[in-house]
Amino acid sequence: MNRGLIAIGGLIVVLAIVAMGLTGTYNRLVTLDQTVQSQWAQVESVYQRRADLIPNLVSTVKGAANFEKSTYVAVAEARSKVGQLNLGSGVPNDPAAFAKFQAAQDGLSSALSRLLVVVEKYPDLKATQNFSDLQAQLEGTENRIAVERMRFNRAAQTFNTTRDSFPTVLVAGLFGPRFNEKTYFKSQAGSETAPQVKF
Amino acid sequence: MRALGCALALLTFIGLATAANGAEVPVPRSPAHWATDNAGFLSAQAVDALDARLRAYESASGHQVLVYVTPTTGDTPTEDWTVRTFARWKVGRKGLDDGLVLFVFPADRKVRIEVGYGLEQKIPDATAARIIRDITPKLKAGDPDAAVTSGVDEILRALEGQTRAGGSGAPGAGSGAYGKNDEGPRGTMPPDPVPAPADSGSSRLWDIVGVWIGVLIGLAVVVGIIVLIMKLPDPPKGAYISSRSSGFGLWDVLNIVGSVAGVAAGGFSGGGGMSGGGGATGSW
Amino acid sequence: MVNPHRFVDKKRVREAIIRAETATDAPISVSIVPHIEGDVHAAALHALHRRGLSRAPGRNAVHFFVVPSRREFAVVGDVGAHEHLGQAAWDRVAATVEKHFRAGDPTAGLVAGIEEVGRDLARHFPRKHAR
Repeated sequence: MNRGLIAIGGLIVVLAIVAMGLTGTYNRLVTLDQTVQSQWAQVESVYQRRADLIPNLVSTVKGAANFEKSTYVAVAEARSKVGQLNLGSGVPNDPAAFAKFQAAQDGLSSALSRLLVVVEKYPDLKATQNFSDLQAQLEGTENRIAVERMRFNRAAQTFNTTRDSFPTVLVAGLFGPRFNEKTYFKSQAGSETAPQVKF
Repeated sequence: MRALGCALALLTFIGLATAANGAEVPVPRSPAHWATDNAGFLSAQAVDALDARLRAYESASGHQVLVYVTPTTGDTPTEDWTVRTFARWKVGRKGLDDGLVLFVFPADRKVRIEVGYGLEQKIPDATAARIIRDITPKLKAGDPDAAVTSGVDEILRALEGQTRAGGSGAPGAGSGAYGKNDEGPRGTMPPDPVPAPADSGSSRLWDIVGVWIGVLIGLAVVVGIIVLIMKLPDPPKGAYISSRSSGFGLWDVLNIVGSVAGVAAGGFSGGGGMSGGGGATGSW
Repeated sequence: MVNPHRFVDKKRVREAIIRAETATDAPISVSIVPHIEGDVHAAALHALHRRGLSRAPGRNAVHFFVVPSRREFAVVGDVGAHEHLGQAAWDRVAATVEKHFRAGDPTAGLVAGIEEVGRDLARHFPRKHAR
């Protein structure tokens, strides 16, 4: 009788410890996940900032330089692909959506850099105040993208390290796709960093 | 079981080691002054004058504006170096992120204005780029004192909201004191989060169960603590009444304020601000 | 045991202190402790220092220290206050407080004591700067 009571007590204590460990793990993952999410919002916001610059850029270039239409049409198309992207906090948990996001954004990056190469041929356009302001904003935005991507990767890495360490890895799967491994940004093939806009 | 644990830990360690993308080149420590010249690029008088001015500017406006001259960023790209340096120094107040650093790298012949998140509205990239375009001719002409001093002049003027007319910054009707904001609006993103993809039933169940286990344990702990406290005798604690509503005496408050002011008067110290790579770079 | 936070109406006492301090630079404060062993007067002086009141520039702080469980209290002044007010003033203030305490109205006792000592302090340490 007495021994039975002790056994039940011991069981309760063990269960309580397990449950507490589970809670602690869950809370730690939630905190790290929130860091990843807020950093992801920053990433989306800087990309959006770049997308917002494009109509102005295209119209400025169109008005001043009567060159091959295909260059700025390509930019506009890449821009609209970016506009159709699925956004939101679920993207870092979903490798397929993430890959789509990165592909569309990288597509816009390369369309933009082709446009800017072409602009080199038009010194009159380059000399206007309007264009040099746009150029500064574009440069700044590309730099912000690089910074926020780097910070996102770091946050994702911290999350993944915790998630995949023992014993968290044994329970992380129980909490649903929210605690999937986060996807990183990868450098574009052939370039070490985000595409540099050269002027 | 033990062996399994060791194996898992080892696997994790390997995963971790491969995930780290190379060590970053270290950046300098936070400077002790508002204006610093490690390259002997500016005259001592100019550095002192800038330092006094920026120090006064911080106490008047709260914004931390620094000038930092160092020969080179080495192999690191300028923007990468400056954003990490800014983050390490924590320029600007925490939460407001209202710091700004004018970096000059004489050996690289590069200059950069790194703008904290909170000042991006007042100094958008286009403004930072114009300031840099204004000062690079002076750098080219070999007059660094005039270049940096006039750069700081323009930065402070822009922070006061006196943006230059022209370009895309034409003020729109009824817009604020800073003229038309020629940057894409910040904070319009992200849109409402899309609904999470369909989960498998069991993991969603566990998601909920896990939370509830946590809630129940938390409740149990709180109830336990309350019971314990109720059982314990009332600890004798006195009441203290003075003209201040807190238990703190007036002189305690004065003393603390005094000691904090004393520390702050010693030199520059970062306030916890961050930048997101805003600003502009130029070369001469 | 008496709850020191209920022993007096803290709001009224605080208002009395604020009123008195409009006329004088000297800080006035009150401690109510449920119980102590030992000398109340010594404990009162200790409290005056521990509360940082002795850092007042004129060393003119006045502290009322009340121990309800022992039905004792002490009115202590820092060196500057004692030099100007003298023992007679403390005895007078203590008598005023004691009268109300015996009548079972500790709040009125403290308020009256604060007003009385406030008048004495205002004569010797008038307020120089408006608050």
